Amino acid sequence: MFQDILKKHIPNEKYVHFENALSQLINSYSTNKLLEIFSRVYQWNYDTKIREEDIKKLKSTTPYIEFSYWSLEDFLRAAIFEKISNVEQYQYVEAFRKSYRIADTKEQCSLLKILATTKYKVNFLPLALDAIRTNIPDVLAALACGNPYPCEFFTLQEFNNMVLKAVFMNISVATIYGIKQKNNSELSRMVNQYIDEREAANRDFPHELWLIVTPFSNEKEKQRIYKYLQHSSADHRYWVARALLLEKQPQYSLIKQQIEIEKNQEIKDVLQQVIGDNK
Amino acid sequence: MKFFDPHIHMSARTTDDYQRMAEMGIRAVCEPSFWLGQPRTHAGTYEDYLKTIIGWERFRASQFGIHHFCVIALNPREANSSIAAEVMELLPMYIHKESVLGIGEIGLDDMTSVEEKYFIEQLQLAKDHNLPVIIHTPHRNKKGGTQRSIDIVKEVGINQKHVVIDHNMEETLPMVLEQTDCWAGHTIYPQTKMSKDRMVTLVQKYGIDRILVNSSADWGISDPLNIPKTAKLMSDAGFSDEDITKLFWKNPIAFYANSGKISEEMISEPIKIDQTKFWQDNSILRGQSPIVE
Repeated sequence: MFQDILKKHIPNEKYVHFENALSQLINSYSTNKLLEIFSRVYQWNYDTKIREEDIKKLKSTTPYIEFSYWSLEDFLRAAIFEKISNVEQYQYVEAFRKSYRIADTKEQCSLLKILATTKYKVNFLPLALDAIRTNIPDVLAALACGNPYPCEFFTLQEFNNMVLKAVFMNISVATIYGIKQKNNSELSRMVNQYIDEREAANRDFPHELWLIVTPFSNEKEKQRIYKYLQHSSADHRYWVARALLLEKQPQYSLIKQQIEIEKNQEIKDVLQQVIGDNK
Repeated sequence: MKFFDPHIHMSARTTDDYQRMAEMGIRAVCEPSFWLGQPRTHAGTYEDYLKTIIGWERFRASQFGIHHFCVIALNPREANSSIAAEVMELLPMYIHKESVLGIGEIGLDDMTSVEEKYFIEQLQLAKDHNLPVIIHTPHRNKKGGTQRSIDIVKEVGINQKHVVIDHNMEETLPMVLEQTDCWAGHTIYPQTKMSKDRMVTLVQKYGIDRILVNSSADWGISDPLNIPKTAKLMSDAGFSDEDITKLFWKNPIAFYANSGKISEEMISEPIKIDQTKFWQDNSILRGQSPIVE
């Protein structure tokens, strides 16, 4: 699947070179040979974006992965592991783990992004959990954003750790796969406390946090949510509106009032969706 | 003016250093593997160090717009230690990494037979993979150590244009230039090795071809701004901007371009710091005051 995409996007000479390297790898497979090819991916990289139609095609077969977050290098690395999918399980697992062990930052990102496409996925859980401890935003984003792996394999506590780390690293929580399905009262409580801290320090906070706190807020916290629906920042108003779509019992009168005075059409449209049939 | 410090141990430096280096025009650095100031007791900590200089340190530099590369090796000081053999097994796994431009720093320190053994093995590794090499010359018995290093380079038969013999002084520079096709490296230190004004005198006498200059700043008394400071002295001494650019920018690029992994085009612009588009082309970073250049 990935080689087809690459063939279309890499100049022919480079692609043939890559294909030959993969064939040689399969013909005389060894972990060290794989590590060398894995480390040489930059040689076959090409500065181009994957075409929209190809992203759509991929999404039709693998809908949960946000392929638009993948670079061509990520596709190259995914193609390598796709190519060795028929080696023995222990060889495949060793190859993936060792690649991660010696990976530089870009390679680590690729390996985390392609986790959900690998064979023997569950074997790589310790590696994914370790990635939460990173201090490099790209690495955490590779694990968290548009990647179904954490949602499928992490416990709630592990998922919460990842989301909180993303918040502190300024990574958009709206792009985290499973943020709605796996949201929970404990995560909401911690994020509400974070908002308390930021407000006390008179500092702004990521607007998308309303997605996390809204479904689990108590009465007092809800008052704050509706206060931010009238905030001077359109970003806050937009994300409160988006979060209210998740509310079981939205306060229709307050929302209707906001629709009347709201000048931003996008926000207005979301709020209209919130009140739905209760117009 | 743009500068490339071809030998600097940034993992021992602070973010203030990165800030000032960027302000003074340092666009790229290369970090050779180094010892920690005290002996490592496990090869595992050495591997973590390798991962630091190909990963975290590269990221840290990028936050200040600086391109960070490294060369990796068993350091001469650690050649005599119990971790040496295990470290040698690690090196081939890491030499193919994109930011690893070569092997270094290797060479002689106490000039023991074990140091020679690993020096030769690592030169061979560089030769086999066509990679540039930084050769450290000893502080003690400088001339003898430099001469032995030259002899070993010749014995191994590595392409001498891929080799820099580093930390030269007035007595050793002519040995390197006259006996070899290697590059001659110089380390500008505040108190030891080469000083800024003596460096200017050396290039006045020997010219700038095959000459590299570095700060080798590390955890000891050293100055990561010694490249731009020496450039200023050269300018005051009447060197043209073209000569200064060749010495401090084009020469290190020409040397490391032997790796096939970098070119002037790749690094002439600083890394753009734009935290709103930090990750591919997708604005996944949101929230508080992102830095945008």
